Amino acid sequence: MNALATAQRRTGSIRRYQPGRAADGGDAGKLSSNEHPLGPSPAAMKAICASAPEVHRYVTSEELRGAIAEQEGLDPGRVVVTNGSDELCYLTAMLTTGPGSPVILSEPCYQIDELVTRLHEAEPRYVPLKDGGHDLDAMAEASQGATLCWLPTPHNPTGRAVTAQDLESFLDRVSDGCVVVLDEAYRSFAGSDFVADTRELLDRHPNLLIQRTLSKAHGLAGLRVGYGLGPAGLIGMIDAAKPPFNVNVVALNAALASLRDPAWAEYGIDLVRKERERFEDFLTDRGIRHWPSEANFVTLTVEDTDRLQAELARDGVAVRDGDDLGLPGYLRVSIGRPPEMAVVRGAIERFQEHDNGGASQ
Amino acid sequence: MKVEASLLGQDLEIEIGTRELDEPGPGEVLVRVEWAGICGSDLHVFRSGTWVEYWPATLGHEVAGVVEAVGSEVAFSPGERVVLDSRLPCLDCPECAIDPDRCSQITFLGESRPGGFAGYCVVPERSVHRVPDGLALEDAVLAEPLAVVLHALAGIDAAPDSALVIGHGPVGALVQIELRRRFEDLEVDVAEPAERRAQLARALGARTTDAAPEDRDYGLVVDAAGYEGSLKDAVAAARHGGTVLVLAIDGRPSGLSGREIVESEVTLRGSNAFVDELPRAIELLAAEAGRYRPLVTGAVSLPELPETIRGQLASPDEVKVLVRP
Repeated sequence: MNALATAQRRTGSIRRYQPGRAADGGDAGKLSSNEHPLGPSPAAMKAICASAPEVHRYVTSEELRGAIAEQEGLDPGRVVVTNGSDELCYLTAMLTTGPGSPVILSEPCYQIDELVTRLHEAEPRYVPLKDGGHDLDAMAEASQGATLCWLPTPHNPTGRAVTAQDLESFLDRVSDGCVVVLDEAYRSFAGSDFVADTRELLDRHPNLLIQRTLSKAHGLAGLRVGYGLGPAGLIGMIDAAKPPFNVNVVALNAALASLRDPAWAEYGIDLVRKERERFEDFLTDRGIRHWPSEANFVTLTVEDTDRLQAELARDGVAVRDGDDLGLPGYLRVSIGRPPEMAVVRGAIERFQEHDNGGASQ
Repeated sequence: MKVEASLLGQDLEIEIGTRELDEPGPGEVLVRVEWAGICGSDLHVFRSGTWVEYWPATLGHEVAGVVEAVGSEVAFSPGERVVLDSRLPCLDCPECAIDPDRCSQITFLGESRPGGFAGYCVVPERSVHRVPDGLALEDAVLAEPLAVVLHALAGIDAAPDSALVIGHGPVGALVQIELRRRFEDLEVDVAEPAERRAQLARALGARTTDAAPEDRDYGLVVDAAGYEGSLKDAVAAARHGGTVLVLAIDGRPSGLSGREIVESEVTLRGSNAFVDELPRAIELLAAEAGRYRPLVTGAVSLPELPETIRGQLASPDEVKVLVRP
C-alpha cells in the first residue's frame, strides 16, 4: 500500500474541524468559539511583549510544568504541557489507540476527540447523550474492552456537567484497561458540585488522564497552551512522544504570568457566571429550551435557527450553528461581555416578537 | 415625536413611559441612543433630585448613538456614529463669552434637558463628537467618564512613588486603569469594601483593602468614594507633601481641619467634569478599547433601568452598567 493511500484511509472518515465564525460588523462580537470575553490578563500581555527578545531560543516547558504541579499539589512528573489541550488529544489517541481499538465517545462529542479517534483508525463506540448529559451507565458498560474513553465535563457542545459524585462512581466502574480522558476545559465555570478534587481523583484512578487548557478562563486561546495531569507512567510516555519544544516561548511566558496572577481569571469567571445565569433566566422566562450550562456557553433550541441567526447577525453577533457540532436545530451561544449579551437578548426578543416561532417549545 | 424614556418624578419614583421630544431645531442634532452609561452622579440625582431643572426628568449624560436627524446649519449627517459631550454651557455668561468650556452656569445633559435614558435625545451640535470606524459604540460610551478622569489626572505627568484610590466605582476604576496605562510599574492600592468592585481592582493589578489605610504612605491619594469622612481618610493616607485628588461629590462636612493640611503639607486638588478631554478619550478608546472594557459589569435594556437603579441605590456593587434603549 502506498503512502497516499494510507493517508487517505486515515483521513477519509474524519470531519474537518469547523472553527467558529467571526462577527460581521455591528457593535457586538464573536460568540461562536467560547472565547474569553475580556481577553488575556494585563500581566499576560506584559509577558507577551517582554518575550520578544527570547524568541531565538529553544525553550522547554519545565518552568510552566513546575508551576502547574505546584498549583495542583502534584509531582511535576505527573504533569505534561501541550500545545493547547488539542495536542494532548492527538498524543493520547496516538499512544493508546490503533486500528480497530474501541473508543468511547458521547454523541454528539467534542469534535477533536472524534477526529483523532478516526485519524488513528480506532473504532468509535458512540453513546448517545441523555438530555444533553453523558449517559455514564451506558458509557461504563461500553468501556469494557475499550482502550480509551473521552469524557468532557462540562460537555461541549451542551454545557451539561457530571457531578463529582457521579464521576467518582463512573470511574469506579470503567474497565481498568481503558484510559479515561477527563476534559476539563470548562471546569472553571462550573459550580462546586461539579468540581472534583483533582489530586484525590488521580490518586484513586490510575487510568485517569485530566486535560486542561488556558484557552478559556485565562484567555490564551490564540497562544495554544494546555496540559495534562495523570499517572506518572502515562504522563512520562506522553512527554516522551511529544515534540520537545511543543509550546512556544511567548505562550509559555504568558501562561506563567497568567497562572501567577489569578485575580484576572477569577474576575472573568465571575463575569461569565453572572451573565450566564442572567441569560439562562432570560431564556427560561421567554420559554426557550436550553440545557442548564456549567460552561461559558449556553446551547439553546428554537424552531427556526436560521432566522434567529439572521436576527443576531443584524446586530453583528455570530453564534455557533448546532449543525457544526452534531446538534442540528440548536445554537450554541458563548457568554460574552455584558453589552454583547444585552444585544443577544434584544435580538431574541425581536425574533420572538416577529412571530412566535421560537417562543414555546 | 414621542419617544420611550425613563421618567424620574419629583417624588423620585422612576418609571418607563413616553415623552414628547421636539424635532431638532437650528444647530441641533437628534441622536438615536444605542448605549447610555449609568454614572455615580446619576445615582445621586435618582436619590436626591439635585440639579434637575424640569420634571419628569430623563437622566443619562454618558451617551453613544447614531445621528437620526439634524436641524439646519449642522455639519453632521444622519447615520453618523457619535458620542455626546455631557456639558451644556449657557453660552450667555461672561465666562462663556471667553470660552464656553469655562461656563459658570454650566448644566448637564439629563438635568437641564432630556438625556440618554431614552430611545432618542436632542442635543446642540457642539455636544456631538464623531466616533471613528472600528470603535464600537458600546466602548465609545465610556468616553465621557474617561474624559472626567483624564481631566482629573491632568498635570500628573510623573509617576508618584505610590498611589491609593479610595472607592472603585466607575471613576475610581478608570483612575486605576489610567494610572497603570501611564505608569506601567506604578503599584496602585485600592480601598473598596464592595466585593465585586474590589475584585475588579485586583484583576487590574491592585492590592485591595476594605477601608483606606491609616498609614501616611501614599504620594498620590484619589478620593473617588465620597462617603462621609472619605476626604479626611484621603488626607490621612497621603504622605507628607503628597497630593490628594478629590473627585467624589459629597456635600457633607469632611471633619478635616486646616491643621491636618498644614502639618502634612499635602496638596489638595479638586476636579470637576472635564474641559477639552473628550476627543482624547475617544482616541484612547479607539486605540485600546480592551483596556477599558473590564469596568463594564452589566448591561440592561431601558425597561430594566428602574429596577437596576433601585438595586444600585440599595447595594452599589456594580462598576459600570450600560443601558441599551
